[in-house]
Amino acid sequence: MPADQDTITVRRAALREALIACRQAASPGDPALVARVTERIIDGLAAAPRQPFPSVRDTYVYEAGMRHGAEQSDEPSRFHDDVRQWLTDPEFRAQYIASCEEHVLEAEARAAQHAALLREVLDQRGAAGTILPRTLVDRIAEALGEECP
Amino acid sequence: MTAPRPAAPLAAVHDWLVQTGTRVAPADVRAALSAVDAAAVRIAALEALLREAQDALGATMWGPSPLPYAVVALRDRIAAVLDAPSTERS
Repeated sequence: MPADQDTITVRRAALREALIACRQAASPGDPALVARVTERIIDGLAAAPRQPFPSVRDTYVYEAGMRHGAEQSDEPSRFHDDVRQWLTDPEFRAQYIASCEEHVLEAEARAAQHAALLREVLDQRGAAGTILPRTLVDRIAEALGEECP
Repeated sequence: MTAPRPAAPLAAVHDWLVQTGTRVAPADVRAALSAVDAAAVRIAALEALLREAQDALGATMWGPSPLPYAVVALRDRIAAVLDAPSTERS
């Protein structure tokens, strides 16, 4: 369900506060880090009208705090409380799980690519000039779940 | 209306859940996290083997006889895969 305009305005204001908090927490010795975090928060501001979660601000503040070594501040614990709250929200939970499943699918595709290359390595072990250690051959075969004479 | 996937917040949630051992997560979230972790372990193991194979294939290039083209090409393809950006969550 789309957020109403008032909610959007509040969220954008909150994200701007986060940006200020980030800048205040930033280490003056690492301008590149400040720039990166600032950029992410600005991206968050841009996405705010489409962002359904009420605690985006806290996420960005938390990230900024973690990145700037402010783990002892109140922000992480507030973030933790928010995560507990989010996890009781079916919509958030479903989205999070979908994100995990998408990640696993990508990883499985990558693993399949790796496994195919490793099978080719096994196929090449008799090729002229190749010296593949036996232990490596055995471990590759074991990882692929194959017998290797 | 389907909400867009907010990658950065979800990644932050994920990091925190992992750091805290997912104790507060419901069972379905824990299961999803376990699947992510298992996939990461599998990828890491295969990548380590690929790196060893790449090194071994590279070492054999210094031998007295030239390597077959297929072996050289395979080594290059392994290098390309290992150098490719990962799809790991940020």
